[in-house]
Amino acid sequence: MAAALTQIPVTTKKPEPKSRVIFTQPGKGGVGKTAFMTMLVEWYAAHNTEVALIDMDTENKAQGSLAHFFPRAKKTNIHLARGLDQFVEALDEGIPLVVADMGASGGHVAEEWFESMYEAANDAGIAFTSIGIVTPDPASVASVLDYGSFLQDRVDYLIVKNSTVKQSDFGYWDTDPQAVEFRQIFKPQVISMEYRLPDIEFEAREHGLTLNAVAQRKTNLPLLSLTGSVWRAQAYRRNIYKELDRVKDLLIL
Amino acid sequence: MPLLSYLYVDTQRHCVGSLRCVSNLWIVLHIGGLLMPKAEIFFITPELQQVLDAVPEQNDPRSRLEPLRPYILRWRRQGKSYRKILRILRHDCHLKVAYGTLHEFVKLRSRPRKPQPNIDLEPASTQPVTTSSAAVLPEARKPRITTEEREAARAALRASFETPLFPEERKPLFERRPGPIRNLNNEALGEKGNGSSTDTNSGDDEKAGTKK
Repeated sequence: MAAALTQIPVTTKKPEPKSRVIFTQPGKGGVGKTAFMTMLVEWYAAHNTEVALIDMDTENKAQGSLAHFFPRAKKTNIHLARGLDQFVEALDEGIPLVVADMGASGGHVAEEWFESMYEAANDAGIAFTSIGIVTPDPASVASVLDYGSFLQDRVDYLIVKNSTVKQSDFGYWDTDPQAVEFRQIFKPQVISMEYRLPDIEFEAREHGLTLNAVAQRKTNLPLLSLTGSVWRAQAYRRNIYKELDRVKDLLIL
Repeated sequence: MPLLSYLYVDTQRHCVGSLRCVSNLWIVLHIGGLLMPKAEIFFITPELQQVLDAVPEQNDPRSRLEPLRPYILRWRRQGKSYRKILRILRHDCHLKVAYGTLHEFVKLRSRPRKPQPNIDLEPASTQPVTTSSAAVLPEARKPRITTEEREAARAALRASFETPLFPEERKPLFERRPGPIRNLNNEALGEKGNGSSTDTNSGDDEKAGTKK
């Protein structure tokens, strides 16, 4: 009887996703999650691609969160019972790409959500791209590794090396044995986000302006209207778009 | 070895017991109309053998209605009532039979039984009646499953539960170990620094040794 059983080979190749949720990993705050996500949303817009936006950053209630830059972003409290269900409910609206900014807190909630919902989401053809931001701060690396330890290979990883200071040293990310192991196992795509002058970034954030808006001279704010600021914004935008184009497979279907 | 069965009858040829031979041992199945509570085994004696040999091969009909069985059953099939059959028996066959006796007789002999001689007395043009019990009872058509088949079915049943409905939790591909994140570049620099200081120390020792 046992001989009659057919052994089905297990394929490791993931099927083509029908939709994709791109989310920042919760964890270390102030590493530039929202700064990156605003550029990512602009990148989609530059490619004429509509995405559903979810803002789960409950700490930045008024300013600095995704909804501050993009009012159409749906603000959701991750700590509510069904908060993270927005991931998949946004897909019901017919847009196959969801971009969610998770904020610093809520890692535990996200873990619980993944434990219970991932299988069904996977069966429904939903792929996940987890964006980890690392800085010269070792705590940011620890946060990415902690999340990798939980998410395992259930997601695609995009690691953004965010230069928060000029001539940033990413030695912790580059040389830590566990970080090396993480890269060997999950083979994440790694992109760089160059150092941005704080006065430009802070001023833009304060007024809910994206770098793209500064680059397109869509503001009359004195500092951001300066040609130097505009050209710098254009350079930041160009470089990050190039990087995103390089890893587009993780960001589209 | 063929199985031999005998009825034990008295002088009036009434059945008073039955025996069955299994591997040269005789088992008493019943005596005096009562089933033996427990089968008893004994060796057959020459006297008993004589009695047993005198037993006719076929038992006589136990009911007076037995010779008329085909007719009675056919009448019933034709829809004649018990009372009408009783009248026929009384008037035409001179047989006085109680209603209950006739009813019981028909009931017992109408039941599907083991294969038996064809009792059909219908005209020759009708189809022969199949008396095989397998043809009568649909469930009887099912062949009895052998021990091997039962074992195979059991194994198949168990095999279908071998595979868990949900995949078992697999070993994590990556496990974050507790401890600080290290910058090996910095550590290498530190070792270099320590190394030079060690050299310095050793130099001091040497100096100290020289002093000594």
